[in-house]
Amino acid sequence: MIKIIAVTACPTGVAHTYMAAEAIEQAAKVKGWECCVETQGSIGIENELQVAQIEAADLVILTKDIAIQNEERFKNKKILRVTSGEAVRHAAQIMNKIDEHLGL
Amino acid sequence: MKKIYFTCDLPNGIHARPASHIESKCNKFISNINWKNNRTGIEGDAKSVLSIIGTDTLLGDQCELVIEGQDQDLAFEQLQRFILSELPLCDSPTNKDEGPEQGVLPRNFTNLNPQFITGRTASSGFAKGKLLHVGSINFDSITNRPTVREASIERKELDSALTSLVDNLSLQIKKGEGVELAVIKAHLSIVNDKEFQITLSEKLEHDGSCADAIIATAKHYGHILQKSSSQYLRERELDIRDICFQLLCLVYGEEHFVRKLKLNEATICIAKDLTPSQFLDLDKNYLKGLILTQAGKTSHTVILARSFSIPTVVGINNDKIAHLIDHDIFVDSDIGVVVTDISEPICRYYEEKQRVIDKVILRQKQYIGQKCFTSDGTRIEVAANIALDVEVTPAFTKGAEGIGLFRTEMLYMDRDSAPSEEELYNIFSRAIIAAKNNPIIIRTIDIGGDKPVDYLGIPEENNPFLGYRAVRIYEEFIDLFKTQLRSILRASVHGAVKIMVPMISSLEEIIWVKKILAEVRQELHQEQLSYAEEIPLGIMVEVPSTVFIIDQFCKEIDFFSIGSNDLTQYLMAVDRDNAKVEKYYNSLNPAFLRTLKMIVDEVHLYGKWVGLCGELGANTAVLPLLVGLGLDELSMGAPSIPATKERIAKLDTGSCKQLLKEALNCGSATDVESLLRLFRSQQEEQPIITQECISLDYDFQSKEQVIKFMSNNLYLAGRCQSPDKLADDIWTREDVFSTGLGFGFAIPHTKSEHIEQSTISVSRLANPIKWGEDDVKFVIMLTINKHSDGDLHMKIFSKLARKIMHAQFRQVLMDSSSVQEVEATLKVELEI
Repeated sequence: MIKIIAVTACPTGVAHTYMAAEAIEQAAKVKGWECCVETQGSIGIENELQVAQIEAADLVILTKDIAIQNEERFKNKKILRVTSGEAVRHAAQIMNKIDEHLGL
Repeated sequence: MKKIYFTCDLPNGIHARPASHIESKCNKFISNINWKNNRTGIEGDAKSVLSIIGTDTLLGDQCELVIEGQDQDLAFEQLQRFILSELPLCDSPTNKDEGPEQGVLPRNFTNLNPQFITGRTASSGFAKGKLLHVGSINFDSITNRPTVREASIERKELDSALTSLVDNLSLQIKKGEGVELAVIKAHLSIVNDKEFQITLSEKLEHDGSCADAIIATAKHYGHILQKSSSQYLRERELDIRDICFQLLCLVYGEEHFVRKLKLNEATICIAKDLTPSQFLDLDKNYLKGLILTQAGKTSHTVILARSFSIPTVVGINNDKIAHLIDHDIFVDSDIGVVVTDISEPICRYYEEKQRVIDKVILRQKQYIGQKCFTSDGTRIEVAANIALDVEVTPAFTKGAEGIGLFRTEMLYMDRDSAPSEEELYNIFSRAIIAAKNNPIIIRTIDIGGDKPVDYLGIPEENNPFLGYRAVRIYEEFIDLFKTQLRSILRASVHGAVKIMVPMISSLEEIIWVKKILAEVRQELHQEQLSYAEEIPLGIMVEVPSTVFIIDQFCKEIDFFSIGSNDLTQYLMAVDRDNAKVEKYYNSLNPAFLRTLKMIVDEVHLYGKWVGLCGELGANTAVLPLLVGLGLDELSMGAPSIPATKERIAKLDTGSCKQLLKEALNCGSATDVESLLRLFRSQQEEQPIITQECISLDYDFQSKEQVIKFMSNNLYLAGRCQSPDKLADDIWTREDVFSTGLGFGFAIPHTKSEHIEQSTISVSRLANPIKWGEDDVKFVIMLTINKHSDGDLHMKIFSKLARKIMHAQFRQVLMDSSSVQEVEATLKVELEI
């Protein structure tokens, strides 16, 4: 079972943070993968990724519009960086790319 | 011979107003007094206003007064004192209402890439009209000069014209109001000026015909004033031309000189220099805007334009705009520009602006005719502050329920002598009748060392605010005081008048006033002049001492009115005009608020009435505190009345009282301000979704239009005070990357201080528009209050953001058939 984790954060922390999270979650679901997304928006950090989850993950998606807090957690992981805009619009394509990359 | 050497300290130089003070001061002496400006080398008779002006004395000029004659010693002593201490105070401060600050142009405007010319705002507003050039009175263009007649006939004609002009102007003064009045008075003082008349006579002897003499005189003074390095003095040249033109018309008849311009459609007039008379002649139904290429902010014409609410822009070069004569243009003096292209987006932009203004006026209209109550039924009277009787009627059309303060100082200023009893009686009667039995509070004069009223001869003081003024001078000027009282009493038969005394600091003062009032009543009774039996008597609460003896006052008087401006100054020991300490002038200071509470509580304890007539009343942000205090009345400038009544109708006394309690315990004015902000955003717990902010199938043509429309709706819904600034914040976010989502949706958003109630606004467009790279047909705008505590609204927004990613949700919204349906869908899906 492919396990994907992600952290999303956008400039104002109002909309794209959550839209990107939703898009990623939905697209991963379509692929039949397990997916957990931590959001870092105006409300603060929600769904904070746990050490165990991070360890078990095959790949981390990080949005790159603004800096991700506590990024050191992922230092030994495969990271794919996308803009929150890309995540919102092209989540399916991103999943396909991950598919290819992980050689599945 | 005696000489006084001095330097001119007046920022605007010696123009008409200070010159007239100097002239009246000098005319008290027999000696010859010569004013010499050492910079320009020009000398003039200090007993003539025009001569003094002619010396072109500006700030920093070294001057000397040369006094020669019988009373030269006395003159020297008094003039020395005058120049040192009174003259520097003679210049009236530049108008506070100078129009909005020139700021950054709103994005909604600049994004349209309009063609525009930047000028300076002189009178705010906006309008569309056909550009028309209004020529100045050019004497050189008068080619058909009348033939010279016999000398004695010419002399007689000129004298008769002068007399007629004086009569006309005097008559206009009786009817005039506000700024118009000041302009006419200035004209009258020039016509009466000795030098002016001498010059006219000389020219007449020399040149022959009245026309030649008048035109020569106009040119003579025009030349002097035009040369001046002071813009203010250059502007006064228009006044001379205006008067001379009026004289010409009186001698020869108006038809002889083509002048009147007839407007017959919406017009924007452009003129290099428009005289006040020309302005007054233009039909205000068609005069939609004004561009004055050379006028400055102190121009009389500009001041009149403001009085008549004509959008006016100044400082635009004529050649930049000459090619547009006869074309339609927009004047947008809210932002200080003239828009020269009339493309469709621009027209829509201004139509939208007009829509908002029309809605606000309509919305506030309902409050105008009503008495003011809070949402839970507490009565608060909203009244107007005025200074001239002609302001009464307009005040009531703006919704005033009474006149809370009729300042009478203006009736005494800018004159040679105090107004007579008859004159005052007429003015007060007119005011009282216009008030139609609504209460009108007349405040007895508050003048002293700081307001130049020369004929009283009040010596200059170091500290006029703490000095000899208002009630303190009444005993010395007992006739003046009694005359005012007599006129008020006599006028009282016409309606519901009340009398208020300013600057009271102790009980014996009001007891003395009551004694004089009784004497006046007795006198009137003996003269068989009638007056109302019951005329309530009250005092201004401005000197802090009164706060502690309200119980004593309650035994002697009927009501109190808080002069919040002066009370704040005296209480906090601050001169609000002193830039170094103006930050201490803050009426939200808890100490001041506690003072207000003491006053209101004590007055009510004794069953009396208390109002507030300072500027604070017009500040809608502070209204909840004033409502919480329990004031019986708020009195303010008439334009602020509709918004105030509307705001009060939405306030609930209970929550205002609670707010006040918290404010009184704050440690600083800043804390009170935060409290007020919080109150504003929490106050009605407005729902995050409202039908007022949902619009379906509007025909928008651009992203700019959509954003502007939705921001304006937030303003109209009372959730935002500055829609343009909110829109700018939305644009700032758009600049980062477009909020188009694909699927025909866009989700502009911002966390801003300009939105008071977090809101989700929705707009489905009739036709798709370009939104950056995308075609968008459905816009959901999220505006969240930057200062809001708690995450409640953000959680709702984030839920919405996630829902939007689902096609089904989007489809339901896109297919909605009504505003109610959209509202219902959102409420259900977002669980609110």
